[in-house]
Amino acid sequence: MFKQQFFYIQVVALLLFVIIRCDAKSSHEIIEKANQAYMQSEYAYAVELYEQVIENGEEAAKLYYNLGNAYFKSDNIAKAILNYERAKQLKPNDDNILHNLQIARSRIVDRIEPVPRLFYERWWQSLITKQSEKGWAITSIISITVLLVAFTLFLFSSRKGLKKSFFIISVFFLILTSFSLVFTKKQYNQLVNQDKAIVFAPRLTAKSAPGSASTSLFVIHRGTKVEIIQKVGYWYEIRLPNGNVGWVKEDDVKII
Amino acid sequence: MKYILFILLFILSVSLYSDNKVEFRASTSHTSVGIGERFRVTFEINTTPTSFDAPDFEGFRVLSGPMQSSSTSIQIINGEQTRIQTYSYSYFLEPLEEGSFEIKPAKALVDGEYYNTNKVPIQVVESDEPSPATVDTTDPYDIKTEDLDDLFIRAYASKNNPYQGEEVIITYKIYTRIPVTRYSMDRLPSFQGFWSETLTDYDEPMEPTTKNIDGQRYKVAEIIRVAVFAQKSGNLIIEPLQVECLVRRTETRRRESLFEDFFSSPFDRSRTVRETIKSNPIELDVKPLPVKNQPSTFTGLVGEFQLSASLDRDNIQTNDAVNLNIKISGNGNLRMAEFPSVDFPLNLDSYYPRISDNIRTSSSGVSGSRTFKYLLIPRTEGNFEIPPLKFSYFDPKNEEYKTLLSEKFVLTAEGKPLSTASEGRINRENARYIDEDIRHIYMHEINLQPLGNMFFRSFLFYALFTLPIAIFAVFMVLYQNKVKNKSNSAIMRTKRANRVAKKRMKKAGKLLKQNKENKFYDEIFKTLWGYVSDKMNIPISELNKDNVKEKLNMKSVPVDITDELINTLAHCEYARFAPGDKEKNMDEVYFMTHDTIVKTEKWLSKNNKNNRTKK
Repeated sequence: MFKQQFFYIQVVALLLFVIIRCDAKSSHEIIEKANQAYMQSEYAYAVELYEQVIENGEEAAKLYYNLGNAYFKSDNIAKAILNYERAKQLKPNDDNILHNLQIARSRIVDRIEPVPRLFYERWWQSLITKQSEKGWAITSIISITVLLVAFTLFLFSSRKGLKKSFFIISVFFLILTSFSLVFTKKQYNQLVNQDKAIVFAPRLTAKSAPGSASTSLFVIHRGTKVEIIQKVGYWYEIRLPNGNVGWVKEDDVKII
Repeated sequence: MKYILFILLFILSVSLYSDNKVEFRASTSHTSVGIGERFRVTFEINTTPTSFDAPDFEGFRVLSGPMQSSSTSIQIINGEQTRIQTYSYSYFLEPLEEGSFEIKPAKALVDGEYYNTNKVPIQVVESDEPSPATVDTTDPYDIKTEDLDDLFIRAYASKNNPYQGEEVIITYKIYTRIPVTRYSMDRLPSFQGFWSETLTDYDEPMEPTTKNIDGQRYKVAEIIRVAVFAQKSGNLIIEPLQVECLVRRTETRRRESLFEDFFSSPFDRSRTVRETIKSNPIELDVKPLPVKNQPSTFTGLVGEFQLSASLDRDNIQTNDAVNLNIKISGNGNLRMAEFPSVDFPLNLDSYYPRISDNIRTSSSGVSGSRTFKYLLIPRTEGNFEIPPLKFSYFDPKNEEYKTLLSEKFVLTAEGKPLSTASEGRINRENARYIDEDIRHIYMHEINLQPLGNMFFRSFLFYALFTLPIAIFAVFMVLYQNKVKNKSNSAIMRTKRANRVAKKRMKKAGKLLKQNKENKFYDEIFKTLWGYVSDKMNIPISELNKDNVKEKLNMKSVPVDITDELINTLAHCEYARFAPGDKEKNMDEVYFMTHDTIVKTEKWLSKNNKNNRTKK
């Protein structure tokens, strides 16, 4: 009786395993197929396949990157930028992603000079974006481990010089741990409360208030990245990199 | 001699037998001209004259000139090289009146000597010859209908339905029943929409043949043959060829004139008459080249071709030059051949190819070859693979495109670049940026994760983050305990001391009851010494009755306790050997010892408390 039960459990486990494997494999197969379509310049088909993988609830920086490429090749620059930005969020320092994003940005209409920021603000921002949320989280874990090891060594070393250096190491890693935790939190917030969007309408007139009747303030074009300040009804209040603020309709932009 | 065709061709012959002799001669394009008709006079000299004086052309009007031209030819006869430079001066003249004239000699100064040309006689005939544009309307001779049968030109096309770019040979033939003394083609048709190539030489006389048409014998001669290649598709028309002939006619003139009748004897009835005749136009229906299966390397060649390629050498020194010859030969519009694009490897410099043609025109069409000579210079050592050259053409016979492939060449360059080493400078090139494009997609397997999966605040993150802290905490606690136990092994002993003392006291108590005197005292001694040694952390070996006070003082034990301890010890010794009630003595000693230990213990606990509060 017991043996039989065990057998059933085994079968079910095996089946589950197979199903999971199949699922994983099918996604990879789709990507493989999409890559091949891309290679044969069938970009529209490649886009369809990549999107299918994302619809299945899976993502990866490289997947967004490939999708961005496929959109770029099918002349859909706005969608290419959207996907490159998504890839960048997952992998902020990837050279290929940054390169292609830059090229895609050079093809859009708007050239908006960002408001110059103070140097420490820039440093802070670039520090935060040095790594993704995952990267910073892992950094904080490694850093706290090193901190505790160094601190233990500090406690137990009897020689003065060693004690001093272990103390300095401990302090350094204490600072690193706290900073990386702060950065992790920042990146996490960025991912959870998405506040950046890409303009999808070919021509978008920003209004002074939520409502079509209000005064038109400025015109932006497809592919431009904007920051979302708040949402009222179907309207977003957006801010351009140069500091201009206006209201646009929800449908005309797409959140990264 | 009536129907015999005379074709007189003016051939200039320059005698070249002696190289030192100065030849200076005059010639005219016509020996007899009509009034109002222009002709050309040419003076030629076979050396460079210092000066040239033209004669005055009396009786003629100079229309244009002098037009100077020079040509050089090199001749080798029996190993002797002769360089002949010919200068010519041309004038276009128009006669003013009828009669016999002559072109007077021209003078030229060569090496201080004057040379004169020969006189050239010229006959000016009376001519009401109208301008060619009005030939049809005001022709005074009645040669229109019936005489067209005497003399006409036919144009034949080798093909009426060619492909665009295909060779079509147009043959013009003259049919005549009357003697033609001379004919000249004013100009060839413009061949609009075609690219044309004359196949026959004007100067080469054609052997006439005889042909019967409707019972009439005609002399037929081919005048000219032209190969045409249509540049576009559609219905194209080749304009008629216009030929001017001098014919001898025996017809009487319709316009009767007594004066002329009077003078014209029966023998003079045959006259030389200028006539302009036209061929029939040709209509060609040009088919466009098929778009289907047109290779990318196709540049418009139609016909039949071969491709051959060769490399001068295939093993050279770096920075040496080597020639790659690509030869396209065959029949067709060879002059349309463009150089095949070659993807030369990097660091193999190539120059714009030199094109040399060897195109022959014969009565059967245009054939020959066109050679592209690429100069290649390898800039680095190593093997350079020149991929096979591709070249395509359209074969109108089989109505299909054909692509020819040459063989693949491998050029091996050896040795370090010489020039750079000797000159001490290095030819370095910056990378060339041609265009920018996005980078290629990532092709390897991608690690997928669920959408919106976040590491921060996940269970795994917390677990991994708190794990080192937990390990640290546990480690610290364990270590603290160990440190305590190790550093205060004395404490351990003091703790034990109490227990040991209690045990011993119990034993002593038993011995007391059993009245075993010696053993009892032994046990008491052991108890006391052991207790002191354990409690004060002084090894037993270092303790004896003499130094016990000193040692205890060092451990800052109060004097009263020390005294009591020594007292007890002394009392024990005393009681052991003291006379009297042994049981009573033993009792006393037992209680004294107990009291001492209790007192010491009290002090110690007080002392410890004090120490802790101090800390």
